[in-house]
Amino acid sequence: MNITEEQLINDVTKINLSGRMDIEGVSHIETKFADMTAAPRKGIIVDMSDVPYMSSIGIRALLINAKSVAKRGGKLILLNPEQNVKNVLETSGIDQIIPIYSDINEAIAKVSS
Amino acid sequence: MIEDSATFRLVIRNQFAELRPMSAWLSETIKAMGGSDENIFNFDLCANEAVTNIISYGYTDQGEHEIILDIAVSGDVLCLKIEDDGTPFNPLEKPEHISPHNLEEAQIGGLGVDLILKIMKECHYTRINGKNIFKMCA
Repeated sequence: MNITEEQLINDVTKINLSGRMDIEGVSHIETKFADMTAAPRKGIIVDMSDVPYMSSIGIRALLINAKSVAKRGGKLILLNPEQNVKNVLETSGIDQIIPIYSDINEAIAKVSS
Repeated sequence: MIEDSATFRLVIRNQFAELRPMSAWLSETIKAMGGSDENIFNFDLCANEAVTNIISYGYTDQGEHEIILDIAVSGDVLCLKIEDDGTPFNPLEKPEHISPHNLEEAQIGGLGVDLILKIMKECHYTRINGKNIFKMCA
């Protein structure tokens, strides 16, 4: 897996994930993922559009980072997961606690508020 | 429509390094059987969850063990059977994971079995001759 970041307006950080979000994939990105969501960052969009597969280890990685951001009063949301990955998020109920957006501008507005 | 098939078998070791080759085998095999992309994704996911649990929690020794995967089609039903010689574990007896209402109460981990039971249409477990045999069908 690969992970990159870009800074958007309103101090929002967009994190771009790519590759299989399985045990091996998550092991490659977890340290950088934690660094990219660390203080003082509060508005985080995780772009999932290039993630073709996610298992529960991927959900775990998203939850860990979403919780740490929320603890500091910030927001982490997901952008454009592929349909199969979105099904996993919905089946596990994670979509109810980590919002999913398909429009980047709406996503920016959500994490900026 | 998936055609009736013979059983295809893969034997792996109890090591996480085997998971990606397992996924590749499942993808090729299900595709060859005429399965859909959704079948491939769902069986890949559920096999990964089941085998990860076996490797993580199934053994009390540090030794090498075999995990056997058999996949076959009958009618329109595709079934994957996973056999291991680990400690007894029936996934069907695991208490249902309750979806959290908010991020604060969300527990990290423990979602794997729940995903399998929700995604697969049918699951069966039996223990015979010291082996866990878990079958999932979609």
